[in-house]
Amino acid sequence: MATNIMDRRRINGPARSVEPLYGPGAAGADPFAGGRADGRGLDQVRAIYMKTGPLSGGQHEPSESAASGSAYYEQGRVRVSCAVYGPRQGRRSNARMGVFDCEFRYAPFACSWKRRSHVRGADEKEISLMLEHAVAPAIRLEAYPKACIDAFVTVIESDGKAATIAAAINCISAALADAGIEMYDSVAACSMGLRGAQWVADCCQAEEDAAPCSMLIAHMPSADEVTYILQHGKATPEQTDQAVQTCTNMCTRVYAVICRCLQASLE
Amino acid sequence: MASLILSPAEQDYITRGVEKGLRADGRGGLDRREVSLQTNMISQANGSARCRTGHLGVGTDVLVGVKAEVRTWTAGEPEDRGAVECSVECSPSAAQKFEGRGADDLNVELTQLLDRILGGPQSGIDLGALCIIPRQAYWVLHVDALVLDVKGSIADTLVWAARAALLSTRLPRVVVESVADEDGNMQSEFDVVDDPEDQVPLQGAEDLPLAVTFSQIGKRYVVDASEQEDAVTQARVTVAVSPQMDICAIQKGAALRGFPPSLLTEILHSARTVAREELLRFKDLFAAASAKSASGADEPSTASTFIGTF
Amino acid sequence: MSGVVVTPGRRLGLAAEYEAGSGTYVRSGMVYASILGTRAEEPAGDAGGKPTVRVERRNAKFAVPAVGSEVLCRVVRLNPRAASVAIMMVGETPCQEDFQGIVRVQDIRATEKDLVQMTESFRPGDVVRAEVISLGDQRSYYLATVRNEHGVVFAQSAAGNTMVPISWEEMQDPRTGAVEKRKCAKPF
Repeated sequence: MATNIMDRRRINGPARSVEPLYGPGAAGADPFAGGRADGRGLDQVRAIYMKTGPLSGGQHEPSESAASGSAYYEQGRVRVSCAVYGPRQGRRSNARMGVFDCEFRYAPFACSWKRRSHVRGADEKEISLMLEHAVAPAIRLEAYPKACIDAFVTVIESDGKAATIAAAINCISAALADAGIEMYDSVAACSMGLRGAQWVADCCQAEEDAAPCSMLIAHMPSADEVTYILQHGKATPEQTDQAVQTCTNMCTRVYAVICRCLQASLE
Repeated sequence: MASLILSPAEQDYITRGVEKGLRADGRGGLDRREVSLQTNMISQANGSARCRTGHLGVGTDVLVGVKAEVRTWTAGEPEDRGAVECSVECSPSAAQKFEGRGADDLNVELTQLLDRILGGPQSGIDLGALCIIPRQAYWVLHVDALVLDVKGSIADTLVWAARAALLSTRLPRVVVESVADEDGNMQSEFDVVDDPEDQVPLQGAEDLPLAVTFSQIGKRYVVDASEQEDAVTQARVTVAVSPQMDICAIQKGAALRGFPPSLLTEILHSARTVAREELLRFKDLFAAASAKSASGADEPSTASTFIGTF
Repeated sequence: MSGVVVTPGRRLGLAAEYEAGSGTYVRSGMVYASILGTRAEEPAGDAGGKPTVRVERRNAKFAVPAVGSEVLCRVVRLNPRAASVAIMMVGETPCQEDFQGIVRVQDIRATEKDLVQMTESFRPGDVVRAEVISLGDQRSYYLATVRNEHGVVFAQSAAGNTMVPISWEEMQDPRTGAVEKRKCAKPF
């Protein structure tokens, strides 16, 4: 059902596609069967589509663009693209370690309710900073002394703020891998919202508006480190504990998809 | 915030100390430094507070002023709620690197944190009570913080000061009346009572959360990192806990590394223990501070009385 | 195991069994991949030791200058004390974007440093092979051309023809016969 809507809206279908993360029903029994508008299970993430190198000419053709790596990431109706430049000479430099800079922008048409201005808003600055904090621990910055790595993220379509940030983290992570930047691990991020006493994975805008609390976690499964955590809204300690665990597990599943896409990009 | 330059030997000393549960100033891992609180010292604001963390007047110093403003409702805004808006500014007096645009990133991060704690229903403030007439007018509380000195652990001090300022905030009373206009339709109108004696406290301010920041150093973590500890911190996370022991916000700060999930769970548990003590301590200090400001003992301080208070 | 596509963070083996090559790092006794690429192994050398595991990337790997690396750069600007250069290649890999570097006049030759004249060593537009001696200041890397193999490898004469080195200190335009002074690199 959700895929139909997606296909109608997309003008040019991608040449290649990757099988969706979890097929319907794959996530097991759903106590609130049919409880979500798009028929997903409570712990089900929207279908993920990802492609590396749309902006940098890809692996095989020599790149015309200046970007060293790029990625396009789609999760349901959240669409994000990211270009990575560098390592290059940066404005602020540190002789011991490289610097990771991130700029997050919404496209003017990204949000359904209101056109966004071209001027960078305060929330975009905030999110840029969050993305830097979430992704920088994954990069081996000591391998790039005095250099600067820049990531530019554009949100083409947004559906749920926490989900958009999570998608941006995943997208940067893939673009960095595409650029051949040395990393400790890929970062995978996932968001959840509270509905009643139940955590619901990967909320869309309507679900997020109704949720009193949302949780965003970025995780490096192989290194087993949580690189970012953000809880917005009130929850009991038990709920928070549960959210940290569930969200971390879901990150691992998203990680598997990202890794598979990255592998496919080389094969 | 690694403005402090430490030698590898110092870094190693701090890191290994923390891993063994020892800190340079003799505190335990979950102990905070001395805190001093002052309230209502800005007469033109609706509420204000100054909070200092540290010994002998050397420490992180945050000044918060709350100003209330009546705002006309415009389409698209919530219909029956007031709003809280936060801003944090690090003054160049705190550190040289805050000059010019040097503090931009930190300002954004702290503003974001304060907004996350105070800017919604999670803060405990009754936003419904801040509405004057639905779809017409509401109160906006501007929580403006000025960081005057930085010696580690800004976030905790900031939230302490903001909580004290909001608790000391008094709003002028508003009288709403219905009047008939020319066509005979009933219209609501309101009048702000201009009497400094006739003011009401914020509803739900007692439910405001306090924040505890954990800094991971080596394999362990500490609360209220000092300036030196801040310089070797690998990861930092701020947890806001309400008096009901609910977790109101979690935000990770600038860091080089991430937390192992097991450590994170442990931190969330410690957060509650620490917050419980902190809330009791806050209550005492706040009561003392309000008593002092009410009795008018807070005369302009000379150098000796200023140091004396710390 | 070779030829498998690995993603960053993938375990490649025990550090006790393998030497970590390029594109890998070691943490708590394990070798992990740090870039996206294919896994490759090199058998242990004759002297014994461990086989090396590394991750190879077919498309560009972008280099960052480090102390000791050999770079290829283009002279941009001269003054009597230093030459500003744009670093274009580090070792065998091209840089994503040029890095700024400086060759100070005392780092051009190993001997008679006090007699070196900048204008008799480099000219703007020359391509120079040099070694990074320091990460330098905020802006530039510091380079040196003291070794015999380092110096000008490509230069054009005033007439615009490519010159050939005729001694350590001179290059000649094969068409016009004009001789210009340079700090030449030893050809190989």
